Amino acid sequence: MNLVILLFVLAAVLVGTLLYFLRVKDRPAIAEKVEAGSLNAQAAKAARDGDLQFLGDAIFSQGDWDFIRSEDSPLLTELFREERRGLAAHWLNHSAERIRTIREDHLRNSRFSQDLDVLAEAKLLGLFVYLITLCRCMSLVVRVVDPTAPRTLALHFEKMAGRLAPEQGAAVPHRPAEELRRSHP
Amino acid sequence: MNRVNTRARLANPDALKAYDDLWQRTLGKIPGDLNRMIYLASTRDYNSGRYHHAGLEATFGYDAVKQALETAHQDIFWKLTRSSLEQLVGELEVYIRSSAESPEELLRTWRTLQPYRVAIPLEVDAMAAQLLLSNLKLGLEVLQKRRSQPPARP
Repeated sequence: MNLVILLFVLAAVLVGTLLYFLRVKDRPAIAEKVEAGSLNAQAAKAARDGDLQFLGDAIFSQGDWDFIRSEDSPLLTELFREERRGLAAHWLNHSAERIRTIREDHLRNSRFSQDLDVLAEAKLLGLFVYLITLCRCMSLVVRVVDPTAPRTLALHFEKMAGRLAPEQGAAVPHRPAEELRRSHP
Repeated sequence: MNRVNTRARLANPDALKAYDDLWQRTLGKIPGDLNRMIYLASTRDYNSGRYHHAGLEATFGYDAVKQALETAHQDIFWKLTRSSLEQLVGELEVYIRSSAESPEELLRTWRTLQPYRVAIPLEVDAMAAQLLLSNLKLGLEVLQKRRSQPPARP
């Protein structure tokens, strides 16, 4: 009788161990699947966003501002300010939304990760907070001063936002800089 | 225009041939990118958003031509969106010069009805489209101001 119980317990332990290993083996597969799906979506989005990297440069363009001022018309200057403020506000909302989406995707992916680097995660969190704060600061600057004033901040923002993808380990294709640069007469 | 990028996007060889033909026979002969964008938008049905070009379709087929027209439309849109305001004013001047209408009439219509809004391709980023539309609006105001202002004395 004792032998039967012992065999039963051994069989249960064996099945339990087997189930545990199967679960562990499956976990990275699920994580990989989710990651791959997310990367495909990210790649498609990044290809789209790659086209959009010049927008910050264009919206806060000093060249356009100088051109409008050279026309020497207060009405034109006011219209330019109004138009660019609207565009800047829209761009900043869009950028903040982009950062939030990347953060959410990253959080979702890291739930399946088994070898989280705490230092890298803290660095990334710092970068997310920094970029969102930068967006808020620029929104304020755009409302208070000239629409081209936060140009340096906008370029810095784009540069830092570009770091997000490699830091979170996503293969985000970027267009070559010469393709992104804005043309000038 | 980035031909390498276009070739990568047009995987269908017939679409690529149609694209080259479109540039060679039609777009290459139209002065200015704004003119080209307006032309390409005019090949698109207002209701369905589908592009049609009877001549090209007879040679390359509907799907290939649709892809070619759509790609050319987007290429030109991105080129114009990346242009500076000064360049865009130049594009507007070229468009006005090549139009049969009087510049005053055209400026008045464009500033009031904003017909250029329907010239934006369907599948482009809303923010980029907004930038181009805003720049076109500003460009028209620049031209209006230049026309209404008496020429400076030498």
